[in-house]
Amino acid sequence: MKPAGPNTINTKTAALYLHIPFCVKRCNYCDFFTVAQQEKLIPDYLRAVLREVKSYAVVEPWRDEIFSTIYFGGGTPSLLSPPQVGEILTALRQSFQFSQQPEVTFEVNPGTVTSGKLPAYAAAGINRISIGVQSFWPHELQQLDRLHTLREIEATVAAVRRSGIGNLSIDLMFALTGQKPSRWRHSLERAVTLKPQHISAYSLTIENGTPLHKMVQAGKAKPVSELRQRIFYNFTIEFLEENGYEHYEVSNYALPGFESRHNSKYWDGSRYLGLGAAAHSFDGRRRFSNVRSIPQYIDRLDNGKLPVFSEELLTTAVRQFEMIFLALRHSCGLDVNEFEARFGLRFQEKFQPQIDKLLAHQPPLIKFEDSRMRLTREGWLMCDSVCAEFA
Amino acid sequence: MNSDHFRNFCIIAHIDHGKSTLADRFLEITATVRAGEMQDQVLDDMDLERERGITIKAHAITMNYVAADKRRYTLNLIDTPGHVDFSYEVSRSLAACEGAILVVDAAQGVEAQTISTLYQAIEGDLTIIPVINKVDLPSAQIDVVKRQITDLIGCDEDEILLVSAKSGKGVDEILQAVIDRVPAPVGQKDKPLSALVFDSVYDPYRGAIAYIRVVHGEIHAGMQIKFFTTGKVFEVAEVGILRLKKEAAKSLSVGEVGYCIAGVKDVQDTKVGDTITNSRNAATEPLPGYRDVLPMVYAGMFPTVSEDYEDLRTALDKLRLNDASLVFEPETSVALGFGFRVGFLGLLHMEIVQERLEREYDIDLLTTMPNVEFRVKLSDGTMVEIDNPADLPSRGDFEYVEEPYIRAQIIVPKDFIGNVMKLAMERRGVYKNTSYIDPTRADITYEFPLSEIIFDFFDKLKSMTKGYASFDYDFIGFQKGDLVKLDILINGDPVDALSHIVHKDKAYDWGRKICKKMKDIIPRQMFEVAIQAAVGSRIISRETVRAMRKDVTSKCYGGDISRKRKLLEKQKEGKKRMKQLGKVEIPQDAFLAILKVD
Repeated sequence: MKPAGPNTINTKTAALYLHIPFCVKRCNYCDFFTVAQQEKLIPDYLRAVLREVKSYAVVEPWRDEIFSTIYFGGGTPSLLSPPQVGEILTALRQSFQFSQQPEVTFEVNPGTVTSGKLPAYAAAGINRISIGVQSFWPHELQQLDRLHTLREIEATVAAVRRSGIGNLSIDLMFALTGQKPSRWRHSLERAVTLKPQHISAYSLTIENGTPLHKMVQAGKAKPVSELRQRIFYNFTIEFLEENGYEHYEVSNYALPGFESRHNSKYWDGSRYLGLGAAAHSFDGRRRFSNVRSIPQYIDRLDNGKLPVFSEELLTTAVRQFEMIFLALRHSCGLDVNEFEARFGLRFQEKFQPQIDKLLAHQPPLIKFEDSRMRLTREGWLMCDSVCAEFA
Repeated sequence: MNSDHFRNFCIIAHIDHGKSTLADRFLEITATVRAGEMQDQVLDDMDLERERGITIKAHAITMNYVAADKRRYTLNLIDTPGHVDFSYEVSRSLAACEGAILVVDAAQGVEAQTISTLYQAIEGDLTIIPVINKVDLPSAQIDVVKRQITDLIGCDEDEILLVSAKSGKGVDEILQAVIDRVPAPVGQKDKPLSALVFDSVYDPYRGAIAYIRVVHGEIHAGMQIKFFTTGKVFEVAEVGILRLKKEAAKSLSVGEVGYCIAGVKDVQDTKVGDTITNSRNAATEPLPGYRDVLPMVYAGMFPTVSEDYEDLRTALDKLRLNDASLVFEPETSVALGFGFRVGFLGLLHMEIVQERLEREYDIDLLTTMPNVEFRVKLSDGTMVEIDNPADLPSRGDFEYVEEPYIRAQIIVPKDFIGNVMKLAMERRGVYKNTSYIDPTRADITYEFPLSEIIFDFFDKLKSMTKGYASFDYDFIGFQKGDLVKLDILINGDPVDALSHIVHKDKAYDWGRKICKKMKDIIPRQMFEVAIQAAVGSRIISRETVRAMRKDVTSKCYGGDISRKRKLLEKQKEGKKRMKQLGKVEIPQDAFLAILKVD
């Protein structure tokens, strides 16, 4: 059976995200909100998280919401001890309503988990592990400031398997500065021999303000050419598909039935509640985010306030655009009927010039099948430009 | 009334040599401006003029001064525009005067522009009062500058006044010299009215106001007057003199300078240089020297948002009320849509119009590269004028093209002569003559095609001479040129707004440079964009903007959908500001690429 796509998934359930911003060391390419060498703040931070949980437990719409996924993201969640994880999960269960067998994902970095920790996480309720491997070349790991070794990757995967957690995802990165195609092929090959249920393969983005960006500007690192990025990306799709992984989102691949249920909720318009510093939420009408500072986050909650930093009420035009560009990122594409029903307009009429342009492109960038608009193979490569047309 | 207590004079000076400061001192000494009314440099009353530190349009002011003989004199200071674009206005202002104060900076010495205006004044028989300004500067070279002046106008050294307009030192002596040396106006009161229009301004309530100098006869309210060039007749509503504000008077008589309001709707009917006479008792001849001022430079002006087209038309109409030298007509460009082809006196004039449209009328403009007017002899023998390169017929349909030439005067320290000659050669200059103003400074005459100097010639000249060169020019007529139309093609289609007429020998180099520049400006698109330069059907250069091959961001930032959305919106927004040519999106900058070519 083909797994359900994001537009057909039960959109009535919500997702819950928990941000653990602590890292032993910040990687040079990272532009997420993280802090290094601040582990001493973890107990206070978790205390604040528990307060935030309690606060939202009585607030609409979260009070009546059924949650079907929990995601511990970072940062490095595996810096938390199993009892800390257990305490949070217990608080969540007491405060919110969950569907049967929710997907509970936990991000780990190899080298931060000893073999004893994983069974304990599993016992606390974690049932999906996402390992931030990034590369299977020692030299590349160093280049990315990753602290782990190949041996630690192997050990971590083995430990996950032993812990009884059957749902494993591996994060990889390609188009690293100076990367050769043979190196990337090697990482992909090693990844599939470990038989994870899910692989995320991200093309390295050199974000403003990161140390890597500075290195590129100073000429100390050379970004991979666009043509080569294209080759990397196409190769990734082909290679993983040959190995049984379905390319279901721009950067995500899964064995049948193992798509990330949590991430899919970002793309299908479901509600999600983000807890922790800098976490993002969507309540169906508003998008809002928390303060990007651990002391402020703690301080707000200690003073009985919600740590919300910014919020935006979505206009109809914005909701239309979001539905299109989020759906296009997924292999299921946009359900045109659903779009028309939701907004009461004719999709083809409203976007005629854009559609014509994208279809006329050689090769075409979009295709229409079963009243869905999807990206073509070429369209995947040009996803941002295609999406921007509908802005 | 006798006219022997009138003195009409102007000031000739290079930019920054102190003309405006000196004028301010005159106004203070003669108590024309009371304390508190004084703003620096009151004669320059347009914001733009103040910012650019130059006088764009001429103005005039009447002052009273009690001289050494205890008599009270009426002094009319007629200001002259300080830029070559407005040289005809300068000549008419000079024609309204009997004398001119030549102001030379003690540190800088004589400059080209000063000289050309000075020659016009000498030709017009004006009495010249030489003045060296800024004598207090430590870098003043009074003896050197004295010698330059005596060489130039053949006066005695002791006729030269030494002044510091800033401190006021020596300024009284200038006014005394004006009274002693400048002759009183000579005219006949009993002759029919002849009054020279030396400037005009538009007033939204009173219409076009002519600034005039009465040569013969008298003008007063109620009089029926006729403008010689148009033959149109108006009834005078008011005449008066120009103080800081207008001051109505019963009449203006021989030698007097003032204004005339006669219900004239726009300045097209009060042309500078025209003669006003009494329609019932008309002078037989107009005063000499009138000519139609013709635009030297043309450019397309297009609103960046097509909805602004009507606003642009209205704004141009309004500007024309105040600017008789502005001409325009609708133009349609395949690339840029509806706009206007506008004619200007020169590049400064163009910049001023552009700035006023943007500042005062809030219209976002796209101005195409300026070009000169060409004359084309068609194969059937007729001669046509074209002001838009896109209109040049194809090669077989015309015999030859003529382009306007100017005579340029360049004054430069002799160490830089080599550099000037090098630049002149690049710009198709024809060398005419060199003379020396003093042992260190040369006065070089060249003839140039106007098209070679309208863009950046002066900037280049300045940078090649460390800022020492000064430059002035006169239009001398049309000459045949080996000219071709250079077309720029985007994905095979010529872009009319980028067509350009260039000399055959330069076409290849220009084509190559423009294509290169365009390649830098046009962003990559989802398909390949070919930029070609062509002369006729021959492609002489090509650059390719490669297709964008990958444009996808991996992550959706852990639920931060807003950030992703804003990035996409920004991407789209960038495209909206571009012009669509076929399926290619071109930033507005690309249309100015030619101006940025070295």
